[in-house]
Amino acid sequence: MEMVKITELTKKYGDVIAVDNISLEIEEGEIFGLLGPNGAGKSTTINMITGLLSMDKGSIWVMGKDISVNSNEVKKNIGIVPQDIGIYEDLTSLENVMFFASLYGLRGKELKKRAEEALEFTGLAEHINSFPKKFSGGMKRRLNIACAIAHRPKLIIMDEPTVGIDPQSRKHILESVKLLNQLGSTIIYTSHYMEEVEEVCTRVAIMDCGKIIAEGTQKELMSIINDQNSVWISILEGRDRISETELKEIHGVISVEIEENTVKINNSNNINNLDRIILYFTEKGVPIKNIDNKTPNLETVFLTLTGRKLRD
Amino acid sequence: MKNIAPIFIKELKHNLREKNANIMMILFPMALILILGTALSFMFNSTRIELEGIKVLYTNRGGSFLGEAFNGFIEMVSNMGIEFEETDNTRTGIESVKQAEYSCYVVLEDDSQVIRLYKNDRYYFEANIVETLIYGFTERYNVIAEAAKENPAMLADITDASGNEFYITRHLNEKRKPTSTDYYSVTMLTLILMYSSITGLSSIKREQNLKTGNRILCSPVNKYEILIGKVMGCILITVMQALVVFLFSKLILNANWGGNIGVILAVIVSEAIMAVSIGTCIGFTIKNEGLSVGIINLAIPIFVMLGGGYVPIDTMGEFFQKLSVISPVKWTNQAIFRVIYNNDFSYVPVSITINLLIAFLLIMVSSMVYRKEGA
Repeated sequence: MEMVKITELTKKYGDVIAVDNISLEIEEGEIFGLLGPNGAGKSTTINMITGLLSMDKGSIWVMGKDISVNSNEVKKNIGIVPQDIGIYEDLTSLENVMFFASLYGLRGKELKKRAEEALEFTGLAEHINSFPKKFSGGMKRRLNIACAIAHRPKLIIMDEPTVGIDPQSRKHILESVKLLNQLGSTIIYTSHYMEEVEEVCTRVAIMDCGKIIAEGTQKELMSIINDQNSVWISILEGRDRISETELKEIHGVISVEIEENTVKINNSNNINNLDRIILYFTEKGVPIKNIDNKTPNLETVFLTLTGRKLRD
Repeated sequence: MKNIAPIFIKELKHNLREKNANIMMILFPMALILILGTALSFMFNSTRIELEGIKVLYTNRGGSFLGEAFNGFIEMVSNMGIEFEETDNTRTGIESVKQAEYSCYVVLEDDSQVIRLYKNDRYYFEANIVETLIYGFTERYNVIAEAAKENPAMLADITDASGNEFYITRHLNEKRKPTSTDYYSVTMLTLILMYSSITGLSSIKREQNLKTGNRILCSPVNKYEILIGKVMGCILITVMQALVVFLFSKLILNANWGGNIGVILAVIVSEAIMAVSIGTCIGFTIKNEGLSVGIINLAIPIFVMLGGGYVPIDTMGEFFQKLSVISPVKWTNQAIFRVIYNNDFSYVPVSITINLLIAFLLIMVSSMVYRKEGA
């Protein structure tokens, strides 16, 4: 069954097209990833699904209902985890979750029970009566999620839920996403962290400049770059002597990404150019510490399709 | 409308937990009442009491001497402006006082030589004046009666010498006006009620700053439910704060709030509704919080000044007196003062209508802007 069906969705701000004629279908039970750099149109798309933004063109159907006609009916089944943490610092964790859950019609003992369950699920059971102003960023993010799931929505939309948090909280959140999916919720997960999308999503759409530039399972997306390999060269010093343009002039090099002590080079699979690459580093007097052959990932896919990195 | 309750309760929690705001909204008017009530007491002559217009009903069943003496007393006191009307029926007299048609009812009993006085608490002060005058009369009458028994020859001397002293010594010539404490208890309360617009503003800005507003809009809640819940929560906290100030002024400072507290409370609640709506509307229409607070802090003192909040309107120039009609605070203050001091309710519906009409218009504007913002 289709959980979400988006057809020719468009949103403009003056002359700027934030979302450009996109169409998507998300099946029930999926963890669907929307991957793209900042400003790609992910949050605008999410805001139109949740009814926060009006659409200029197109249609959105959730659980078989047109959201422009059955807005409140649809909203009852959606839980939103906003990118900006939306909690009250002067209400306790329990009061926060109970308040947001009460907006979905929960009352009395059932409300309290569900709120406690949501806090336990997000690992905040010990902080049930604490005020979020004393929380770390990760704990606030987890409370942000608890506020979205207490009413047991069938569709959970998570907009960049791990921005600015510690690795431990990130791990907890990603595990929670998988568990929520196992418990029956369909999840739309937006992120510009490729690793997260790779870890949790069953299907992915890559967005850039308001458009969907690729869509499919991770395997399907990787097949776009089956003819490529990735070489990571670790250097000891001399980063400033290496030129991205010069490296791209080497036959077979598709793209280059220079980080602090690592140069990431995407090569064409059927051209053996490793000797020429090593020669380039030798000629520039840059000592090589290590050479690593990497399997291509979604980052590579994005780089191949747009010529830019996800975090540009 | 079922979602109003959770939003209303949440607003109450926010406001009750804002200790600084609560302290400011309660202690600030208390301090102002004390300071202005003391510092500006010279502007209020509280000892001038007007007798003109006091209405007294009486039944004279006194014996020949007492009855004649009482008639003479009435004649003298009538010259001071007190209106006396006679009735033969005691029950009618008592009923008329109960209905507040007269300040009090005086009955002279012929057999027991007793004067009975029935007072209506609504005319508490006027009735006390009449009681004092009658007390003076009875004192005088007893002296003369005793003298007549012991030495009738002295009677002429006593009556000539005493003259009209029993009422002249009281120096009563005007109805009661508010003391400075009475005055500022009312005006500082209505002033602080206007500052509850900050409460309304904070309620909106809180959601914008904490990014919770969008989260609420994503839920299946009607925007009118959100607005009503928020405004109601802010109004209740404001009325609670106002009640503390009211009780302080009444019980600690003994300020005069008259006998119609319910009516005054209705006017106060209507002002709270208006003030909260002002803040809510500004919160929605002006994005910059600093500018919003600045506008409120600039506008409120002007409206309060024009409403006679700092000094009575009749002490200001003619221009300001005419300009004061634009201030809703003026109508609120006038309504309360008239109820307390004149038992005049004519300004109450005017004041409540003005306050609620402004509130209604501003809530409508808020809901339109809210739709646009959430669209």
